[in-house]
Amino acid sequence: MHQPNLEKRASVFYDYKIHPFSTPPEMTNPEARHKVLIVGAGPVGLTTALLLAKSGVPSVVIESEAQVSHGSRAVAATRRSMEVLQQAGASEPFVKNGLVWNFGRSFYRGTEVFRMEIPTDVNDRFAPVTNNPQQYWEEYLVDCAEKSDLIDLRWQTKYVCLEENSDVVRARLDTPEGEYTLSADWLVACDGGRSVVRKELGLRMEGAAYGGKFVIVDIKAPDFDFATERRCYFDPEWNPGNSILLHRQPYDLWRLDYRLPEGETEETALEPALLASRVNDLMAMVGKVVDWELDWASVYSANTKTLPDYRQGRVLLAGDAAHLLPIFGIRGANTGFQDAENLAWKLAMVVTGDAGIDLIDTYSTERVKAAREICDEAAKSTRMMDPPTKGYELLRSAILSFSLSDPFCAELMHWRTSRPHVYLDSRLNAADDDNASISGGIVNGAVARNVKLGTDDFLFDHFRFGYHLLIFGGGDRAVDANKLANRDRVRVISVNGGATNADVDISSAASSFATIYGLTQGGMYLLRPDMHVCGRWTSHDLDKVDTVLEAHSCLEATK
Amino acid sequence: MTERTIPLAKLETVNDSLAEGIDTAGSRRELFLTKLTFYLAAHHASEDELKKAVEISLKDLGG
Repeated sequence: MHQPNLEKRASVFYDYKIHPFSTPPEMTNPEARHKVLIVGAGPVGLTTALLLAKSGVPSVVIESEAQVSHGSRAVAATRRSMEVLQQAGASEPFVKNGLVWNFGRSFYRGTEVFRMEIPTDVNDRFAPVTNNPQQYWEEYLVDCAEKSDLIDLRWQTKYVCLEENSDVVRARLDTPEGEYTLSADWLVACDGGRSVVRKELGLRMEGAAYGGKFVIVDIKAPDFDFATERRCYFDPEWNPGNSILLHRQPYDLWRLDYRLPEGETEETALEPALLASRVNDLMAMVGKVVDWELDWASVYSANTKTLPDYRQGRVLLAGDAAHLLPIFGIRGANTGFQDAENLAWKLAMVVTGDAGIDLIDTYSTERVKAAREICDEAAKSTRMMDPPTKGYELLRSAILSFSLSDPFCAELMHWRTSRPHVYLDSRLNAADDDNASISGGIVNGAVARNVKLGTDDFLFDHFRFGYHLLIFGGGDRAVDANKLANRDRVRVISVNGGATNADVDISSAASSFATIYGLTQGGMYLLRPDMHVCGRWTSHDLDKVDTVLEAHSCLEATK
Repeated sequence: MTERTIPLAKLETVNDSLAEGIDTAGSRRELFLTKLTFYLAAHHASEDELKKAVEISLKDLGG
């Protein structure tokens, strides 16, 4: 029988809560069949469940532990992740309690050699990056999930194996009261980098593994008072040839990541005396030696790997279960949120019968392609942070040396922060629209842009988790939104009098809105539920919108 | 700062090509880099440019 740790994890800042086990109905009624089983109550699993719930789809989420995870882990949520969390109804505590930043600075031999600024825009509700320790991410998401009647969150429930993966998924689960089998239409594996589901299915990732090992350390240090930004130190005297990252978190918490000297084992690296000496060396290096307490430490290696397919029968994989990405560029969980968003709307449409099963395949094709792009980007950052060969090591030394006197190549130190993938050639994009002829705006496949409409009022605040049709006035006469055959599937937003019978009418900021979208003379944008553009027109021909929506429901199989 | 004549994407390609060349040369990397520099100087650089490149590259070598 599964016996998770029921003692609260030790922490100098976070009060862990032990979530009780409840006897599930399947122990007395094994015939019950669920829509979706989600393995793993981490950020990706819980966000998937919340987004499914927004679409009216119930799910069971199982978590082998009795408490949220240990350590700050993901820490930094990008603006795009915050937008996903807003759709999931969970963004508020992240903003309320988080620390935001948009600067990064790199240092070499005591000199600042590169400064990176992530652009901010008045039209964005969220800052480029919001820092919170992952314990709190999970707590906020658990709080939301527990308020939903559509999410059955089962703690202390460990995934054992698949008994069947055909027209139904039957998963064997273990609990403190014994094992039981749960049947569902779909299983979504969000069980992290060491995914048991992935291993059981024998799936192999493609990509590169980097040999260098990094230590993550969370310390509480109230008097360590740098700005909230990402600081990177190359080749410090106390850790020659290696690099150190420093991130401020809320609750007087600081996150340090540093590469281990060659040949040092994980066990040695985590010895308390050595950890303490290295934290003190770092503080001495930056000139601020203060009292601190250790909260958590761990060791990881950088990988840029993805599965070639995120669907195996009725099993779908998401987040770190599907891909492994290095922390440089804050890509891990931030990529996972985008998986969750891409998957949830498609899975919801299939489960509710609004689309054929082949819509699910586009989750895999789109997100695998995104992961490969992210792996390429991440590899560049990783080669700078953790040179894999003598050649890259020499090039890094050359770049750093040049950076002190002639920084013509300093941009190579940029870590290429996580950004949403553009599904340029997605089969979900309109086949016959005006995308190619519209100058500017947002191309098909790209994620929509937020627009500030007034004080504390932004476009995305008016969104729900579903299709949106933005109808801009200025050219054709206002169109009657009720003439859309699929009206019940689409939330219509009229901009500057573009439509009658819309769900939302926007007249404020209409001019800048139309400029951002490149439709000052009127027209339409169709957005998928994950807010990616899938069609745009210079006219108000609603039949063309219906054609795209119906195509999404009737995709032909690709495999 | 000297003005760079190639965009970042091309600089990244240069970075990768050089690193891969050094790795291919293995223990003969010093000779490889000398030959490479000599070739580029002979084919693509003026005397003044080479002199400037030598000056800049000699700075901040550490050690």
